[in-house]
Amino acid sequence: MPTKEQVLRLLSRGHDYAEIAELLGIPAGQAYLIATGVAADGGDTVTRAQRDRAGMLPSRSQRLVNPREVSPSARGDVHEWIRRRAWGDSPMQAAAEAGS
Amino acid sequence: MTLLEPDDPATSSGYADHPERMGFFTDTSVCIGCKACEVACKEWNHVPEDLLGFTGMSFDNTAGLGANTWRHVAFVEQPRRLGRQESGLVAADLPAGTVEAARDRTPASLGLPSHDGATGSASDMEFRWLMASDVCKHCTHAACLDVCPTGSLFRTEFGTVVVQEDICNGCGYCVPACPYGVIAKREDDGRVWKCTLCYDRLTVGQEPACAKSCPTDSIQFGELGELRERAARRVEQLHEAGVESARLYGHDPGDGVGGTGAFFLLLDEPEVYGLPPDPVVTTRDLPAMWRHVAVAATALLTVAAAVTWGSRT
Amino acid sequence: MNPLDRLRSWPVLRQLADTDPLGRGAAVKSSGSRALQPRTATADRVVKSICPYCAVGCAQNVYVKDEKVVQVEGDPDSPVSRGRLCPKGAASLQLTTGSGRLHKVLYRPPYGRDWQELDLDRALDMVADRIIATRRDTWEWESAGRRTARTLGIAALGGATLDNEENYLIKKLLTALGVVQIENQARVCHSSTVVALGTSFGRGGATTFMQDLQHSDCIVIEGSNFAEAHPVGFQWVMEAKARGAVVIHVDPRFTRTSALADLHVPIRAGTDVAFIGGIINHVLSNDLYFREFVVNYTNATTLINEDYRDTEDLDGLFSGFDPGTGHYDFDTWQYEGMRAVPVSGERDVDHERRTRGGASIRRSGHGETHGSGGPSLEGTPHTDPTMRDPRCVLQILKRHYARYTPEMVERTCGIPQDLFAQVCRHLVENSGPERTAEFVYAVGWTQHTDGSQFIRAACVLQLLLGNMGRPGGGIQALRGHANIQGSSDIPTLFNLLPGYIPMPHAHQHENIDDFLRADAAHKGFWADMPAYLVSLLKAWWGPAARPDNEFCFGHLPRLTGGHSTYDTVMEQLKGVCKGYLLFGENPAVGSANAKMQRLGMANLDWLVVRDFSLIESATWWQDGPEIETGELKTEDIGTEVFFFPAAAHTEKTGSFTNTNRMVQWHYQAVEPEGEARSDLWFLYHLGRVIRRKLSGSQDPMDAPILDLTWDYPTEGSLGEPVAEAVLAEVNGWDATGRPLSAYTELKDDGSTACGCWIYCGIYAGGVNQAARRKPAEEQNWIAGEWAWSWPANRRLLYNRASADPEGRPWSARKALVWWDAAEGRWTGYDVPDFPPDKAPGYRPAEDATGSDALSGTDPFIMQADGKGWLYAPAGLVDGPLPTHYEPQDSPVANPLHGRQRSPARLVYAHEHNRYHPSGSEPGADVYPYVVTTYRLTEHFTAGGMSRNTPYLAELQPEMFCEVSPELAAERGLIHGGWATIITARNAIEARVLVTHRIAPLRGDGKVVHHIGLPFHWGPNGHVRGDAANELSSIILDPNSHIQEVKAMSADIRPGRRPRGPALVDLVRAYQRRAGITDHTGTEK
Repeated sequence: MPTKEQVLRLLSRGHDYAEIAELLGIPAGQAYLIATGVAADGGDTVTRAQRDRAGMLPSRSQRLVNPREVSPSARGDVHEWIRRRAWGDSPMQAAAEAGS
Repeated sequence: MTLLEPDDPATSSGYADHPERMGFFTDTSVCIGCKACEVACKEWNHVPEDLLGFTGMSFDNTAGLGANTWRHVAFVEQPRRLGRQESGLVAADLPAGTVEAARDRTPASLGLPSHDGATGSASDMEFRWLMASDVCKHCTHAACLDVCPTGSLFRTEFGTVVVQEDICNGCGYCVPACPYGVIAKREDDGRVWKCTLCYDRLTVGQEPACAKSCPTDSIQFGELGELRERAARRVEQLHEAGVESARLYGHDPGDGVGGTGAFFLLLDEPEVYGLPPDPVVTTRDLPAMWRHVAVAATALLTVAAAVTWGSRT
Repeated sequence: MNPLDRLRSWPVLRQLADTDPLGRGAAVKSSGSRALQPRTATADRVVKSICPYCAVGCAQNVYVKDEKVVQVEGDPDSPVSRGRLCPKGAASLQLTTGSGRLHKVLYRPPYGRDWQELDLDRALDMVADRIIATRRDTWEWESAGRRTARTLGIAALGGATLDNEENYLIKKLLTALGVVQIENQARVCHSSTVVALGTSFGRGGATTFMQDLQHSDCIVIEGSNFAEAHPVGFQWVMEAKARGAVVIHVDPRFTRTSALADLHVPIRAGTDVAFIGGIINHVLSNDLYFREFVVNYTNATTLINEDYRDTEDLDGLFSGFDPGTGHYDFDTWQYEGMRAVPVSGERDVDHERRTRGGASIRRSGHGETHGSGGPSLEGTPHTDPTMRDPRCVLQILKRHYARYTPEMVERTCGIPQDLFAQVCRHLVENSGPERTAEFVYAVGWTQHTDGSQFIRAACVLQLLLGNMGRPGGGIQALRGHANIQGSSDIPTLFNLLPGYIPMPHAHQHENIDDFLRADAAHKGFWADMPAYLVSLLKAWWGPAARPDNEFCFGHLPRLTGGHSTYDTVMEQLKGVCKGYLLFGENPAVGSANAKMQRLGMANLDWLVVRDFSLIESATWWQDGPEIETGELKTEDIGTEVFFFPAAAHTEKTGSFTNTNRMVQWHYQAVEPEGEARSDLWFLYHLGRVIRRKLSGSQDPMDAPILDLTWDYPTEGSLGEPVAEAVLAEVNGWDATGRPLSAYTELKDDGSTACGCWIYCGIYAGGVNQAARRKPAEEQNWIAGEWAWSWPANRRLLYNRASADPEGRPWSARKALVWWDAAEGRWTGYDVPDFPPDKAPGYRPAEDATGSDALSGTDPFIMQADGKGWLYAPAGLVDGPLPTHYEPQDSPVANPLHGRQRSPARLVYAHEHNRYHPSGSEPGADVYPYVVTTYRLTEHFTAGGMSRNTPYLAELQPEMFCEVSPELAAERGLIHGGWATIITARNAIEARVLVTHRIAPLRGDGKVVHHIGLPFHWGPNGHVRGDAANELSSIILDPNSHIQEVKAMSADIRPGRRPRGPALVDLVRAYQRRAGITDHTGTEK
């Protein structure tokens, strides 16, 4: 495993964690932990001193560890379905007409 | 056979390059006794259930660390004040006879305040409920590691002590070696098991399961040096707030195990929590013992040789 | 590996040749260790979810590998939990994948001795047949001459552990089938909250959010065991503590919460009104209230009807009590010169006759309709801004609490005066412009015969201290189930429609215009109720809902009084209710008087249970306590029982609303196994099958179900409904099919549809706002872009009150929202809970209506007069002000009044529900101790989600009771031994835990001992024990219909309980000794 200095040196040269992982042959999250002393999945509990440290990511560091995330937030088929419901409701259409 | 560099066990274990030493600081002053650490650990490490049953030891039904409990929360109900906390409780107003009879019936002390038997009017009671999550100490001088004949127990790059289950042959030498009584054998399995400081999680930069889960951040994970600094400040803060009894345990590299990778902030003497007050790595005297053996053997051989040569001349 | 590599990897060689001569590290690292990878990183995908246990709503990451869940842990992005989980949340993996779950449908035929397997589709079909048949057999078109169009033959229970979308379908489908007895855990848990907070402030939910606790200067936790019941939420108390806040815990027991508090105040269970009343008296007598806040933002200046009489005048009664009915008439409680309020209130001369004096409305708990919108008023209040008029609210308050002195508090609550003085000092010192104090409570307050009044007392105090609507202030109601807030908002509750619209009554509301006129306010936001109701009807009945048929308003079944879960149990015992559906709720352990729950079920024709495993409510016919005592015989029980295995939260997509009104989406990670299905699947397909079987029917009773819109899209091999579509319907749309963005877009002409008006906006722009997960680190502490809260994503309610009447923050330290004169808008850290462009100086015209009728200094915008109500002229049926009454069963005589118990409480006289003599009544000493029930961190409610989860079960494996050394000595109880606890209902056994943490309380020259009982155990599961609810009775708060389980009297003796018929004999022997009859404790 690399030393803290080794990882920090690569960071100071402008590499991101994905590149460092490639160069050193280690997981990206491991590089993060070694460089900062802070776990990649630690949550919003870093001290002020830690936040200013070299190599700290401001947020979303857990993505260095996790596999792909599956969380869709807008489904087209649902939008279609809503339109069918609304357009198929003729009293609703009539009311909208009358109101406008 | 003691380590050459007390605070850098990874280097003395042969790693040319390695990260900073990582460990736990368990601040028991903010522990709410929820046992999330016990469960998170078991879930992550697939540790079997214990199901000891109702122990009557306050809210502790896990009893202690073992092969199937790698994080254990102790509960201590004490007739003492915690800093400036006001418990609002009132001392029990017991007739003398009852207390005596009770003493005969209950062999173990369960933390009830002792009475001199006198009755009297109820008075404000000093009371506090201490809670603490115990774990393997990942000692700097780890006796379990020293005595392991197979190399199953080993020091990782992070400075932690881990049992390699693919190597362990169940000899059990490590069990009596541990000054804290942490490591133990799973009878149905044959191997010994203990906290790994979630070695597998560390390799991808994730914190140990217990630290992640702990609702009040009593269990803190990070670089040991930084944790020690933070702990020292916390003790000062508590002292200023009137919690005189706050002290650190396992933080001192000069102690009998060279300081521990998992150290604690306690609110009373270690014995109160079931911890040894002055733990010493049980292999500390081994070099001296071997030297004595060597001297004795040399002396014996010399005498034997002298006798043999002498008898020939 | 080639031979040379193999040689090189040999540890001995590595040891000798390399840098690790002692073989302690690098040299002995095995191939296993080198190949080590955590299953989080090697998983195929991570899916975002929310913990299914309590109502903190911790976010979870669910890791899936090869279509199996392999790990569940916290999501560090969450602003609420910050990646943490309590032991229960941490056990989600075992909960969802462990062997404790069943995956096959089971069936018990009538009179059967055992379960058999049954095919899922066949079982669903049979249930549909049962529902159709029972409905037909028990159909009622009218009651006492008024149209009801319903069935009382079917009831449902459960919803707090289900998704919002599932609750929506339950309510929609069953209501369309004419079922009114639809209830869930909210009834037995926090129904009092909705009444009390809703009546005082205009909305019946927690007024703030947990992360804001960090800004408090003083936190009083009372009626709550915060650290044990909501551990991850408690981190925010610790943050406050770290910043120097004072934390006070008021509780009969010294708990894990007390261990972290600065001050623990032991209090006699059931006396909190006296305690808070004492603080109110202290504040008023010493002029320590925040005057400017009180004068401008509360109804302190309002004058009350001159015929009002207080409990101080009538020895424990308010004016207007009718001992015959046990009800109050509220006319004398009104604001001076104002019209009667809707609970009894219509100008229609027919009213008295139609409502039989409003009894039906009263009985139905109308107070809960103030979940979103306080009671409506007609007219304008008369006020005295100097607050000197003896009939102004402030003066009435002073007189009402004048006798709540520190001495009285000591007598009543057992709290020493110096301890009481400390609490008063901390609260007063930490309130005002520069500092704020917060109250946190839970069921220690709600579950009393006057639970709503307990909470009201804190509302009064917080208004007087000026803490409402301010950072670090307010009232945090800690609800207890993942979606109990949601199951109240989208209610599987009998008396509510979605968005707290009242269910119509047969008596009071004839048609939609009557209904709207009676219930809609003319001032305030509630004036738009027609739009909310019509849009709901359009969502449910679509094209069938037209202006000429009142938008199918007639399709809604009508109420004729109380139909709460406890009323339903009585109906089951009477044989009126014949069919019962349980959705993830376990009344045989979790509801009061467990025996009556089981006896009620034994009288059913059929029972459907949906859960993870065979809970007690599914197996009572085979191995329940009455089988053991011989009171029931399996072969004589005709109840047909269906058990359907339910999907876990990781196996379905949907939303949970946490205790802070925040709706969070969780995604399906894997499909459920075997025959386990989500409740969404079950409800949707049940409805589909029922409609198929009824299709073509011309019977008018079937019109509502056939007219119902019931065509959600489904997906996957199992035909799982798309939860997002249900959410979209809840959100609503307009005629163009555009999802609506705010409830202000709703119309009453039928051009909009919306399933729940307070959730309108959750699907704004066609984007699922509840699924937003912007990390905490990228936002301020309010974190408005994580998920979505109602109303309109406001996180801290009534925040207009954080600014003074001119619109400036009361102090820089406590700034939250303020008026930006340059922009002409309110601005700040949170979404302003106020019309954004209404200036502080705005004053309404005489004839203004709706929200225009409220001024620029009326922060409580959902109240008809825009004020926080110190005195409640409407909304509560047992009094406008909290006053102390003893619990139903109490060994102490009421020190305050001649009236021992709350006169308006709901009594249920029944041979299995006997009450105790109390106070100075003869026989009270037979049950001399006070039982209080509570939660433990390690378990969850009625145990279905923890007793079968070994990692949790082993942490607290046996039922136990906590007693003080004094009580142990008095009764000969041995630590670690057994004890039997007895009430007039039943007797249970428990292990004994002797501890100082339960202090004997001394007051009035008497010592009161508490017995602490966790309520999680039942006879089934991996760990077993007796249920605490065997001991409790059905005695209810009249506003909320909630039971009293936090304080009751009992006896305790050493040793295990008798088994078999001897158990019943023991209970009866005690009843005889106490002289208990069917009249005991039933006086009004």
